[in-house]
Amino acid sequence: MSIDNVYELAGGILLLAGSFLVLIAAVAVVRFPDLFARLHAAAKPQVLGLALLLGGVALIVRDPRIGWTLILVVAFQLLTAPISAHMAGRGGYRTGKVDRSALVVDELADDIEAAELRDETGPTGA
Amino acid sequence: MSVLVYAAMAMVVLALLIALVRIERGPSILDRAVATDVTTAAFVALIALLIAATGSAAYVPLLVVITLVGFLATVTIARFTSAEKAEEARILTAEEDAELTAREAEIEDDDAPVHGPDSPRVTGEMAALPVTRDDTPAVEDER
Repeated sequence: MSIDNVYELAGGILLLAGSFLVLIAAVAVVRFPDLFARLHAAAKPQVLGLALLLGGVALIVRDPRIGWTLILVVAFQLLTAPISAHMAGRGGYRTGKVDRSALVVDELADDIEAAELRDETGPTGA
Repeated sequence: MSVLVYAAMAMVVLALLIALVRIERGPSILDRAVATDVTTAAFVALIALLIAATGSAAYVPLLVVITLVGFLATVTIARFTSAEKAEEARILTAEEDAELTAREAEIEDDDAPVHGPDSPRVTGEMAALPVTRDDTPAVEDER
């Protein structure tokens, strides 16, 4: 068994793990009860799943040009995935699609309350 | 080796089909957006598996573009649900649609504009109502 076979086997296992994470996320998005739980599940294949898959691709292809581009792809995804998750969670919270009593920590409610108080009594108040 | 790649492809395609169920069910547009994110991740995974199967570098730029642009749809949807707060009113039941059409039919062409630039800004619970014609007396007074 040559070293190439070892690389390809390891790469194939990484590919399988990443694809399994995508499958888990899809099942969770269907089965989880509310928006935040679905959001939590949907973020998994975007970061860890993608990293596993592209690591597997790099191990199988073994071309430095492709490998560095794949690292770039993971970096871009690390930048953009939190933005969409944050915006979806914020939009859901502020439009009342979230059961606030189910939250353990709810710092945004305190901030919204403080902002309303400031609008009523502050220098720019109505 | 290709057996592993094909098994992974089968799992991703299955994930795509399952995520479509959530896109269809909703209930809110944000749930659909989150499910769309999962389908985007599945597409990225499929392209990565294609690169692994063929060894071709031609598909790599596709990955770069999708990871850079794929989040924009969710951000746009979340932004507009945040701003309008009337998302439920946009998808109307048959009764609500009939009521809205009846209300619109009563309005004459010469009436005050519904959304005049000088009319008071409607905020809070009133913004959730689909039509706010009864709440614009200021414009009529000026005429």
